[in-house]
Amino acid sequence: MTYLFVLALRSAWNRRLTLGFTLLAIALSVTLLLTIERLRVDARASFVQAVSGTDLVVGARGSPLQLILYAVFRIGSATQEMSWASAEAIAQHPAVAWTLPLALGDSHRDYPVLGAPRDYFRLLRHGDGEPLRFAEGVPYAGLFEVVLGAEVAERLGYRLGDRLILAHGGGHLAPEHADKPFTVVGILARTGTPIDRTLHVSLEAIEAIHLDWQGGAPIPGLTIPPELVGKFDLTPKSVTAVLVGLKSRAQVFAMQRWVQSYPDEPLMAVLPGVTLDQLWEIMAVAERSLLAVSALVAGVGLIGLVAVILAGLNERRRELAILRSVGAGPRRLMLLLALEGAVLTLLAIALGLALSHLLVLLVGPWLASQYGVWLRIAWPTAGQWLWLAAVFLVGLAASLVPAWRAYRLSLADGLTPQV
Amino acid sequence: MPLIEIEDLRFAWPGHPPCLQIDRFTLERGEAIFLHGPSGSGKSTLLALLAGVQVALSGRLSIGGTELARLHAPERDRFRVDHVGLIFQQFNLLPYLSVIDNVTLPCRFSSLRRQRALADAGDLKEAAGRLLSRLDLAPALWTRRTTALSVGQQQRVAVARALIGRPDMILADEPTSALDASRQEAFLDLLMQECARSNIGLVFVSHDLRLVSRFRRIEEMTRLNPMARGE
Amino acid sequence: MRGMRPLALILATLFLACGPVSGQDYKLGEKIRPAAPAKTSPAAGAPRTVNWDDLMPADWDPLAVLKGLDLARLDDADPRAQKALDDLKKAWDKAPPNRQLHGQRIRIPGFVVSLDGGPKELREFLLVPYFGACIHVPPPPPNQVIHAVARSPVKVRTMDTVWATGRLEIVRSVTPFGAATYVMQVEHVAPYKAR
Repeated sequence: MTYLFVLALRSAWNRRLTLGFTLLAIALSVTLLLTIERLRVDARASFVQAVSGTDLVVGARGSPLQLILYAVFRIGSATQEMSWASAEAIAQHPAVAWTLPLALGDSHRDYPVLGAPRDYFRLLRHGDGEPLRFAEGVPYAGLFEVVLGAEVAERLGYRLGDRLILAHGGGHLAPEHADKPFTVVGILARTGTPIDRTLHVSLEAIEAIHLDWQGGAPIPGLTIPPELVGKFDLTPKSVTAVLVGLKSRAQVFAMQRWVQSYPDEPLMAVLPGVTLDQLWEIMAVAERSLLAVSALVAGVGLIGLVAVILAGLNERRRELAILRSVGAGPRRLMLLLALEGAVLTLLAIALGLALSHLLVLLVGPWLASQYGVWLRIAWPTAGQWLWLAAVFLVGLAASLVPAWRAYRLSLADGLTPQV
Repeated sequence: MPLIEIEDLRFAWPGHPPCLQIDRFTLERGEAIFLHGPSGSGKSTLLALLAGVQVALSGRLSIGGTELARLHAPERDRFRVDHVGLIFQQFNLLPYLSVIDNVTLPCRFSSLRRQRALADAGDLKEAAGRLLSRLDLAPALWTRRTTALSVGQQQRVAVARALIGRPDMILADEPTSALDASRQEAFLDLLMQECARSNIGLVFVSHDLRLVSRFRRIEEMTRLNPMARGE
Repeated sequence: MRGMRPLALILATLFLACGPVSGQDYKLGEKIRPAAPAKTSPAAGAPRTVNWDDLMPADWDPLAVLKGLDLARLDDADPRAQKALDDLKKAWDKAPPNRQLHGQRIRIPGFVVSLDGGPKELREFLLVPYFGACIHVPPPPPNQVIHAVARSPVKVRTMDTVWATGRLEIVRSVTPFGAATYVMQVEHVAPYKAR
């Protein structure tokens, strides 16, 4: 009977205050579940795409994960530098096909600056073997030229030909290299990786802006104007890391061992795939715990819903008697109550879904610029559908409790409940 | 054929000895009966049996020729809304529906009563409005929430609901007990007037003997039901 | 960039060179255990099941360079021990492949080492005979490493144990790390259960 359905809606609307709060509780727990699931999938995707075709990442000996996170993803604290001499030795090794030395440390308005050779744009692969593409412009050729990642250009509103100043280190109080502005000569197409939020300059440029600096601050009384910089030797003295591609990928272990036992400097060579796999292991544990907690929260919310409906059932015995008097049998009333619980659960799920999208909209950009994780607004993933279905089924089952009670009550009360 | 026919009716709650036993009882169409008796005499039980909410252990109870014992529970529910109007002592109305929607409630569940209601009115709202007017309820109140009405007004809305679609009988369980003394008689007059108008049988249960004078037929429950237990 | 320092530090300390890696209950350096025996004999034209020893030519002994040394009596700090290790490394660098396997369709069990950073699906990976391929364990000689290339991405992670089926090729290499390497065009990867 469809009118019974209408009555159920009106009845619920009448009690919207109490029901509303439990609805909100369930909706928030659903949002939590969905967001964690979304983060899990998108974080992986963001990390995946950043490296492709790189066999080893070489840096000063230390923590492999820290090196990968810093050099490839620009996350975390700076690692010890390695010498340029070592980088050259590696580049000249017969087993090596190509190398890309990278220099990190400067920033521009919270975005990291990467010093890399011009070959970076030709050699680097991301995602599934995708090369870098330019949306506008060309790679840098002159000394004080910069190529922007898609995100940097978009967020800060830069166009080709704009000039900008780099800062030393990171953070708001970073001292600026104000006397050596850079001109934007290229803007890269979007990659969905940390490349998007990086500014790219040549290795020589990094060296040039630090010529009159010492230990992180300008040398007082010594300023070398940009025009004279070219007269100095701008070969870098140290780099943060070197990306290495081998002629034969199966020899990666042998090369790794060669780097590890390099006599002139303590170095380490990291297999990016292996290190990231280890990261996923740790993350998986964290994710599972978070999901377990969220599931618990959802369970608590649903229990709250059942409790609220049950508690209100006593006051509604009159209502049930009236419905009986106009022909609704106990079974129909049971259906009514179950339907109420089911619809409320469904509404809570819908609200939770909407809130999670809102969250992505609000937090997404910040997450992207701070941590390099791109959240997408998309239809729920398979994992998310599973959670939604689980919440709905549990809510449905839980609604049977007050439904059964209503059945028994209306049977016992008949037309004259003892209210 | 009488409206209500009861013969050798016995009823007991499960696990208890019989509490109701009626040898013979009839009510004609359009007849009004005043039923009174102390608590425990079986008034509510009889009403429950007449409404088809409970089923007797043995004996015959037929309304309009239909024997209730032969119907399944869902059929009895349907029968109730098709043929019986109910008025309780208080809290008759659904708080989340307007006055009009409360009145038209039976028509939403019974196509029989819906048809009858639409027979002399364009739509349900009009049919309900006519009844409400005759019960001295001004149109301004019709769209209001029921919680905004006084008890007396609510009871009259309950009467309208019981009357709409012209059921065969109305069962009223202490409908005046919550009203002021001054309103009770006026209420009863309206009720009986409408029942007579549409030839609806009325079973009026009450403990208030001052209202007895309006009834031509009066029954005392302990006399009707030898199994009645006193307080 | 800022504010991630504590997190990076925590992650870094949680992380030793090898870190926690998946892989049932193998210990570091442990070779892959023998597989459950096949239930039926292979059909004609089916890939040939091999083990890692088959990848070394019959006449090549990986420990030949250590012959004549009584390893049990050699102290770790003894310069002869260091030289023996160096000689071993040099010999392994030259380890030749088994030419008979070139172009053959084989089926071999091994541990996965991820190339590229995919969390679950990889197009290319390495296959090695023992658990924990990283700096704490000496790397396998070149005839004990297979560079696996799959046409469509495969769902594996580092240190998963798998059966890899495909065509094995021997590719010439011009590096000091070996005259040739094994490359497999992977047709099929399946999980591997030890006996």
